[in-house]
Amino acid sequence: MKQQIQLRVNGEVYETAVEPWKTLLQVIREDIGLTGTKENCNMGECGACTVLIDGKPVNSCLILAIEAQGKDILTIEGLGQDGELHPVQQAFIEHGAIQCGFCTPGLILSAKALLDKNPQPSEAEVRRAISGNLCRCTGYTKIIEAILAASKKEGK
Amino acid sequence: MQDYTLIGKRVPRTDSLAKAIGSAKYVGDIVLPRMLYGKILRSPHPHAKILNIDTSKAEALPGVRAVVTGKDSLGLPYGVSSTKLDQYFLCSDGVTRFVGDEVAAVAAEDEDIADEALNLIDVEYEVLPAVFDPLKAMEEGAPQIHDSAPRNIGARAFTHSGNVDEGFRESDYVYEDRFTCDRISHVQMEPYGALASYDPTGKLDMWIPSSCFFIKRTALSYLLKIPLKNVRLNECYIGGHFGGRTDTQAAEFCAALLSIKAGRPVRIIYSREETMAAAKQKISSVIDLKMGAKKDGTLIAEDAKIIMDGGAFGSSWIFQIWVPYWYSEARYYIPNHKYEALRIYTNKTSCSMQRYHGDQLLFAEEHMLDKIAKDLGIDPAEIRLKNARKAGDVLHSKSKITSFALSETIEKAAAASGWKEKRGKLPKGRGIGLACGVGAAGFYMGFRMNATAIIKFNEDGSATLFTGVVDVGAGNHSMMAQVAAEELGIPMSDIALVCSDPELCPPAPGAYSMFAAFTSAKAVRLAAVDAKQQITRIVAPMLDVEPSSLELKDRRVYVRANPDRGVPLANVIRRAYRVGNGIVGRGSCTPAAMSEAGWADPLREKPEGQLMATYTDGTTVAEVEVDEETGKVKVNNMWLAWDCGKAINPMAVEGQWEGATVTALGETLLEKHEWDEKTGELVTASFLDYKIPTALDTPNITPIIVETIDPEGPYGAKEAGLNASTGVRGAIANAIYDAIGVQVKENPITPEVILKALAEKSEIKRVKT
Repeated sequence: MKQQIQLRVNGEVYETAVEPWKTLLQVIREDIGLTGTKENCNMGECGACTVLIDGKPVNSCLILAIEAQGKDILTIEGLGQDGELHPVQQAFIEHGAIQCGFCTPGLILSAKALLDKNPQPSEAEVRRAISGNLCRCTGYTKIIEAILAASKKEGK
Repeated sequence: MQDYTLIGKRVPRTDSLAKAIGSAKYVGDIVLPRMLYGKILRSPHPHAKILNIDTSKAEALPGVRAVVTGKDSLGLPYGVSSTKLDQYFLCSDGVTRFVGDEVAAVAAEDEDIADEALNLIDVEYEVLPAVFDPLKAMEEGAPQIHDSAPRNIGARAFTHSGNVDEGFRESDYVYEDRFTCDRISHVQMEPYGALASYDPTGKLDMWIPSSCFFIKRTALSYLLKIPLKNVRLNECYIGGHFGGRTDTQAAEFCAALLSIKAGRPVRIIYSREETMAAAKQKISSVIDLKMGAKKDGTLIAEDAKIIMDGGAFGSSWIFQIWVPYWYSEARYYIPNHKYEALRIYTNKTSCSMQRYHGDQLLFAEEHMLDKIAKDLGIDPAEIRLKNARKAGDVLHSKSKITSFALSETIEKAAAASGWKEKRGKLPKGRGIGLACGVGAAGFYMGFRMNATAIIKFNEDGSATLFTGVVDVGAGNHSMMAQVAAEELGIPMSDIALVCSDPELCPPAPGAYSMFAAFTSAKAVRLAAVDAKQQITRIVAPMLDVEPSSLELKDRRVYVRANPDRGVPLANVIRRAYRVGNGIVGRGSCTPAAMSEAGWADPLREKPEGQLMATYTDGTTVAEVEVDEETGKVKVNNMWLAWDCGKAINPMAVEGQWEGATVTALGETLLEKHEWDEKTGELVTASFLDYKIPTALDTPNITPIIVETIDPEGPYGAKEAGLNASTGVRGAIANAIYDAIGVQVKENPITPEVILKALAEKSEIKRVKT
């Protein structure tokens, strides 16, 4: 039985009817059509589906869409403002932190959440903050460099 | 050295913006009108005869639009090489050969209905005896997996040079031991999948994350009996490959059959479990290695025998059995050399290429070399320098090494890591180790080695580049734009890329065989030079100069000696169209060494000829900390001094090496698959059970690019795809040896392996002194 829900994603309200067992990931991708949030393990192990809910990074495969009502959901598509890239996005591009790109949206959102809370993190804090986001291409080196560079820029 | 505008510069990749903002579409992101969702029913038995499949209940379920079994296919066998066709998709030969083998597939209006339909398919199996251990599979009387392979020996490589028996007699010291390396999952972050859309006029459109669209198109055309020109493989973003996405797999085969049957588009996306357990894996190896050396450290003889667990099907068996030899013979000069590899069928997931196969043998060799060095009292870096190959060497296989810097990489890695100050001098429990590795641009692929590129222009001076090269995530497409932009004197952002799709693009080996820089970038350079010549021929009379005196830069064509005299490129393009001579650049190349030297037939014993188009080489150093109480190994620092030819984009080269190194670190220390010995089921097919490195497991990495200028590669470039992974296992094992004085003979080096090695005071065996 489908249920009518309202979700606030990237500042816009979407009204849709979904089965109560649908995950937030499924509804973001299939009903709302924002596919930047990636589907991978569906078990909360890889972080590819990371979105920010009220500023906190969450594996959207582990939360039901109906539970996400009344919250502010940010996906990768909502990150830049007024056509400008977020400093973390810019740093990922400039530092070669993106290879196949499948883990990238989740990593960028985890990094944004970290910098919002802790604008000048240490390398160890960066590593911890992204340890739930798996990447197989980069070895994380350039990702960590990019996040530290973005933090320095933001701090100026 | 020549000064370039873009080549050798750390330029951001052209594909990174779409990936950073989430607009890059992978196969699972593509939705077509009236698209159905496909799912595959998999065999619960490792080895069984299919007696009957009843799909009637599934077909009757509302929302189910098509069900297919092997009977819906033409029943043709598939193999990566036409010399071994041993895989029947959907078990159309009536036999399942591993847990997860594809038995049937359904397409339905949504995934839930498709899942429900799978449960309604009744399959009657006659369970057959199965075998999982390659050594047991070789015994007389073991269950026979393929009729064509007695004792399940699917493939054998054998070659020798000099006289190894004589060599061991001449050696002062001889060492012999057995090493084992487990299977590996590629773990591309994007789950595997395929989207098919069949039009009743006979045209099949597909979207597949593949490493070479041309190879895959041919296989699908053959398996489905659809003419090549009617099979279209559309470009889409690809979330990783690492050797696992060249084989044709059940996803695309089933999606195509279902789409043909349902008359609607069908998308199949594997779960993570399916991607790990039923897509592809990397072979495991049991390596019996014997090496002999003189007292001064000169290597005299080597005898290596490898037994590989290849799983249910042959896949890219030729390369799997030969690559370890190719990389083994290219590092050190060892006059007497014998090599044998057997690839054994077992009732487990089929194994494809994975990064560089040679790394398992290289681990054994590099670890044994450190024992030899220790016994002889020679520094490990010195013994490698003493035996290292040099540019100009002709290998046992008669392959010539044209550009090579192994000795320089040893010296640079040692200098950067503080080797002299650290080796043997770090506090107990900490150690530093070094190992050499080799890579190569390209093995022989016949006409598929050819890369051709076309460049056409828009009236505003911007250009569109057509190339069949595939970008699986490594940055190949950006590299092509960088090369074209360099030659044409326009920014990379002025170049639109049309890649991968064989319907639109001229041929290329794709991302297969590490050929992208060596051949595809060269073809693009030739195409751009061709266009440049057409442009200068039009401009020369306008400015009353010779074409050769003209330069293309900053979107202008001008006289080199007098840059003020010039015309905007856009004007030239428009003029060319106006005078009926539109500019289209074309470039084409095939690696000269291989096309001229001919191919060493790998089906023959002792193949000789140019085995790889060109070789890369390097040295990896690891610094580790070992907890002798828990057996846990932590890698703190790594230095990668590697030769890639000319680094077209150093930032991309470093990224490739860092990624290859961390994956290899995972294989060395963390990644271990477990199989249920009774059921043959892979029980570790998740990220929770199969541990790949996280950001907390990775060391500080210092990449050091050692450039050689290859005579044939574009700007001297060779490859930087995966070579750096070949030095990692040896470097870590040797650092552990330095830290705690014992040697490990298995990968992954889990805490249990360390504790066992400590308890046994394990070292590689010396059999002659």
